[in-house]
Parts: sequence; structure tokens; C-alpha cells
Amino acid sequence: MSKPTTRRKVLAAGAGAFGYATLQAEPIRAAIPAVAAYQAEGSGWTPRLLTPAQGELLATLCEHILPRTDTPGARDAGVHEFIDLELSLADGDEQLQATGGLDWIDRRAEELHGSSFLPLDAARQLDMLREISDEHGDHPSELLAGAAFFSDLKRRTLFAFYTSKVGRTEALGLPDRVRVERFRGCQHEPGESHV
Amino acid sequence: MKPTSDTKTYDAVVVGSGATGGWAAKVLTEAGMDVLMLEAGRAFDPATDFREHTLPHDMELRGRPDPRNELLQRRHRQSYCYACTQVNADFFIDDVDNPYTEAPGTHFNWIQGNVVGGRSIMWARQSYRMSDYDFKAASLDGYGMDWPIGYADLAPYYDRVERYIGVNGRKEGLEILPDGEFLPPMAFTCGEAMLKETLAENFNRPMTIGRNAVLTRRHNGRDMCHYCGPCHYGCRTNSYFNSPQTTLVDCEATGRFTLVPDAAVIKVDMKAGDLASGVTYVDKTSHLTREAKADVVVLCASTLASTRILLNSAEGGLANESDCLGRYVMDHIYATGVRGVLEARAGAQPERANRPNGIYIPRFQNLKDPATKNPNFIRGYGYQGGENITTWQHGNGIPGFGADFKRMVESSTVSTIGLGGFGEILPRPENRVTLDPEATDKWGVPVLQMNCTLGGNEYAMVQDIIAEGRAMLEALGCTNITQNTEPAPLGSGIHEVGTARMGDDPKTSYLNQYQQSHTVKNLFVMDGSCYVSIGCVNPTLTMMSLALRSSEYLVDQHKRGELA
Repeated sequence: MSKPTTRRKVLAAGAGAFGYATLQAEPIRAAIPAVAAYQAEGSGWTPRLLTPAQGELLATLCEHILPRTDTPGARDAGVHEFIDLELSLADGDEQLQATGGLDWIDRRAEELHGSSFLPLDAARQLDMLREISDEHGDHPSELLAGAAFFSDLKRRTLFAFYTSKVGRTEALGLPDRVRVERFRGCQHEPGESHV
Repeated sequence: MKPTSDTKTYDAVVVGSGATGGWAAKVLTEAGMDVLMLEAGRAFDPATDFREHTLPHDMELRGRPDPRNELLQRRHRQSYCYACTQVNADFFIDDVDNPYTEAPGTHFNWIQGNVVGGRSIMWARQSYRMSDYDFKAASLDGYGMDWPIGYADLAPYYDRVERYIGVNGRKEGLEILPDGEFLPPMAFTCGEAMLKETLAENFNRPMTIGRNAVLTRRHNGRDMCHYCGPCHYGCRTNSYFNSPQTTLVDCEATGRFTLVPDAAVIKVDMKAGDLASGVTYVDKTSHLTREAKADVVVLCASTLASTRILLNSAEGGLANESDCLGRYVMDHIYATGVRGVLEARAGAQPERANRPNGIYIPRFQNLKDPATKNPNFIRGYGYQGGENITTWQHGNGIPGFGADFKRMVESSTVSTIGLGGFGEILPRPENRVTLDPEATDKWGVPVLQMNCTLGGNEYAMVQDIIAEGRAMLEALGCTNITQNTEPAPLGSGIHEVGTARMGDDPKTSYLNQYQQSHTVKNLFVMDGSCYVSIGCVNPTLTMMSLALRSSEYLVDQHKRGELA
């Protein structure tokens, strides 16, 4: 036989060696290549796709979408770093839409205020974002490209923030590791309202 | 190159280590037989391979498909399956090395395991019994062929499999969905309880909690579920059924069990007297071809993989006098259904516990009561689904941005109710798999060509799945109801069965009722290949019960010397 059974140890281990006790202190699974790579990285950030200036613009926009309140904001959660990473792996069209959108913001700022976006004060920045936000129904044609970009950025920001460790633990109040749980389900008596 | 021949002759070789292979090997080894198990997938170690506690923030892309992940890129077909992700792509087969082809104009999704345990590692664990509405369907509506066995024949084996693997559920006393030997049921959410009340009041239609192979209390030395959620990534507490942590452990304990991973069986070898002599396989690590000798050959490679082996074993398929081999491919209608927002539950707080289960609405049409007859199709479908509560994902639907927006997202939740139809696909001889005349896999072995389509009965059923689903959600008070009317290609339900159907007549069936070849008496096919009709319930529990019954028959026949 090419290989004698190499499974003996494994099967024995599978027979019940993994109890609840191992759950609480369980480390991140370094066996997953993507996880190992992630952990090896330092905290200093250099954008992968964007220029440093575009990176700062992105971080500012994301923080306007999900600002620090009584809980951390987008910048605290590194939302801009995640979006830059994701874009760096995307196809050319998707990258162009994102960088084009950032350029659009600066062009619009020039049109309105004669300056790029970042030097504007917070009130002017927020006014600019309100005109392309989905709180308005129909945008005039000259704002459509900006509105599409901002809508996409909002979607990316929500995902990046609430799937981050900070978003999960501090904004949603969930534990940072899997815990032993019990599912209770509906506890109402028959005929009692579920609402 | 001449194959290397192993000197030892085993009592039996079992091909495949998944749900059915595990049962066959358990019965045979415990009865004193010396068993060789060949598994095409790699060795699997729960200590390092189980990854169910991976959270989004553990992963650089938070679980989204990573274009740099070569494992995932090589699984472009497998990643159709919801269970094949960034986390566990290596549980699934490599599509580049293991291709299959599709007849022009047809599509097929063949999802396969690549590990010891096969798809029992990633299965969805739903475990329902078939009834005589299924076993005797042809007698009831005239289409196709009855099974050679009935519910009463299989019921004792269902009992034993359920007691061993652990199936939670609630007894309902329904003829269409026979009760089993259940562990305590999982609970409904409140939204699901509301749906159950609505169905009882407005439709006189039963609904039950899903019956699944997850432990709701400690059972047979295994810990109960800790409700982390993604069972398809594994389970450190051994709380759902998979073969490496249960049946294969029992096999190992007999001392009569040899398991060889990375061994892809090519064909069944024959000797004089219309008897199988063993199998030829390729060692995927050394690329050497080897022969394994055994008195009995048991194929449990999964329906289509076993069929491919038989088609590669002889011109026109081994022992295929009936011309049934490769025909009558069935699966379940999959991916069609409805979803709606349950406003009454807006703001409900989801539990931290992730229940690895949903609800089940059993088939309610074309039953013995004439009032249940649907004029547009025969057979029927059930719904699986449940309530889902989003904690932030609904944020895209909340207008605006900024601090107020953030507070609104975090202080609100949205409840949706989803119902997905699982419908019976009829056995049609023209739905078949054959060997592709040209294409081969990485090891030069001819591969399957799939030629399967849905028919009129299935499309009529899809319309009904949508219409009835909408009616139920509307009666519950759901809004924003969306629907998917496009059924997925065959195979997508990952319930493919039927290509070597069983029967009493060798002219119209490939196997007898014990999953034994009509003509090669020491050849058994104990996976889903034997299905005569598929019913509308998930098939693994039935497959395991059939394998248990057939394995005990095999042992008896072997002892009597009837298989030599």
C-alpha cells in the first residue's frame, strides 16, 4: 500500500478531544493563508492603489459617512485602508470608477469654492456631500456621477466598518471571538403577541 | 505504465469516505471484514482544518473572495456553492485538475468534496425521511417507476442512523414527512412562530422546525452544539454529523481498517465469472497507478463519481445491460423562492447564538386528499428558510450619512422572512451523464459530460413555489417581497442522484434493492446512484439508511459465500 493509514492520530483526536474548554481562548486561525498574511503586516499605512493624497481624501469622506461619536468612527476602524486594499485587487474599471469619483469630488470643490476638498472647512465639506447624498431623490445631471460615487462609497464604508474588529466589538457590542452560546428562540406563550 | 499491484487482497474495498462510505465501512469492519477505503480527497485533520470560528475581521478581505487566493481561483465551479468560501476552499475539489463538460446549451453544477469525509464535512445537515409518497410515487400518479422497497423496509434503518448520528426535530405526525428518533428540537424565532401561526390559520398548512444532524444535547460521547453558526467550516466540538468524527472512528477501532487518501479510483477491475477483482486507482501524490484487490467492491464515491468509475470500467459501462447507467439524473429544484420584510419585527434584537438550522414547510400538494391536487404538475415541493435579522446590512437603505445616520443604523434592525422551494425533479432517461469523448482530467482519465435540463413539470412547479410563497408572506404581513423565479442548473441543489437506479427487473434497473449489481454480484453502489425517484426532501439521511441496510445484506451474503 502506498501509505499506511496516516489517519489514526487524527481520528482519535476527532473522537472528542475538542471540548468547550478550548473555545474561549481559541486563537485566530493562522492556518488560513489570508489570516497569516494579515497578521504579519505592520500598522503603518501606505496606500496600495491610491496616492497618499487620494488616501487622505478617502479617509476623510469615510469619516464623514460614519464619524466618531460615542463609538469609534470609520478612520478608527481603518475603513479607508480596507477600501484601498479592496480596490487594489479590483479590475481596472472598478478602480477607475473609484479614483474618478475622488477626482470628481476635488473638481466639484474647485468649481464651488476654488479649492480642492480637503482644505475646505467641515461645514463646506458636509454641504458638498449633502448635495450628492441619497437623502435627495433626483440629482441634477451634473451631480449624477458624484452621487453614484458617494452611494458606492457608502456601501463600501458600511461593510468595511461593521466587519472590522472595532465595528463589531465597539459599535455593535459583539465579542471579538466566538463564545459558547445557547439559542433560546421564541419564548412567547401560544396566543401571546410576538411584536 | 503497468499498474503497481498491491499484494494483499482485502475482504472489501470501499471507494469514498463520505456519509455512505463511512457507514458501509463501519458495518463491514464491525462484522469482522478487513476493509480498504480509498478516498480521492486529501487527508483531513480537524485540529488544523476546522475553521468555524473564523470571524470576518480575522481575514484580510473579511471573507470576500480574494483574487490572490489560488485555491479559490481554482474552484471557479465549486464557489457557486454557498459553503465554498475564502475560509474553506480547500475542502472542495480543484476544478482545474478535475474538469467536467456540459452538452451544448446545458449547464450543470457539480459540487464535490476533496477531503477525507467528503461532503459530509460541508453538508447542510438537513435530515428528513422519505415516505411512501416518494417510494411509491409511480403507483400514485403513473409516472416512472416505484422503488423496489417501501417506507416500512427502510424505517428501522432510519431509526438506527438517526440514533447514531443525532438528528434534532419535532414530531408532527405527518404521513408526508415521517417522524424520526429525534433529539430535542431547535426553537423558532418569533418571526417564524408568527409564520407558523399564519400558515395554520390561513392555509391549514403545517410548518416545523428543520430536522438536522446537529446535537441539541450531548449524544454518543459528542458535545452539544455551541451555536457558532458556520458548520460547513467544521466543528471542534464534534456536534454535527460527519464521517471522520463518527463512523470512521468506529472503523478505526476495529483494527481492520485501512484508509488511503489521495487515491482516485479510475475503474473496477474484473476477473473470471463476472466478478469484480478490485479497483485501479491513481495515487494523486506520486501520480502512480495502482491496483487494489478485494473480494467485494463497494462504490460510495458520490453518485456521479461512482457512475464515472463504472463508465470507465468497460465499453458502454460496466454491467450496463439495462442501459440505465448514467441516465435518470435527478436533483432538487433549487434557488427559487421569495423573501419579504416583516415590519412587525422591525427593531427585534437578534440572538448572539447562530442557530445552524431553519424552518421546514412540508409538501402540501398532490397528497391523498383530492383537495390537494395541483392541476399543473405532479409530485411536489417543500420550503426551507426562516427569519433573518440584519444589524447593519440594511444601512444602505437608510438615507443620508453622518452621526445621525450611524445612530440610526446601529439602533435599528430589519427582519426578513425567506422561503426557498426544494422541488422534486422527475427521473427522465434523457437527463444523463456520459463519458466525454475527448476531455480527460489531470491524470488522463476520461471525464463526464453532463446533459441535463429541467422539464415542463419542474417549470410549472417553480411558478407555484413563487405564487404560494408570495401568498404566505403576504398573509403574514410582509412587505417589499422579492422573488427569484429562475431555478439553478441541475446539480446546484447538490442532491444529484439516480444514475444507477435500483429495481427488481434487471432489464429496467442497474442495482437490486440492496444496491448490488444485477450481474456482478460482488459489486455494490451504496451512494445516491440507486435512487428511483428523489422526492423533495434532502437525501443524505436516506442514503445513509440505504447504505446501512445494504451493508448488512452484504455481510450476510459474504458470510454465506454468495459473493465469490
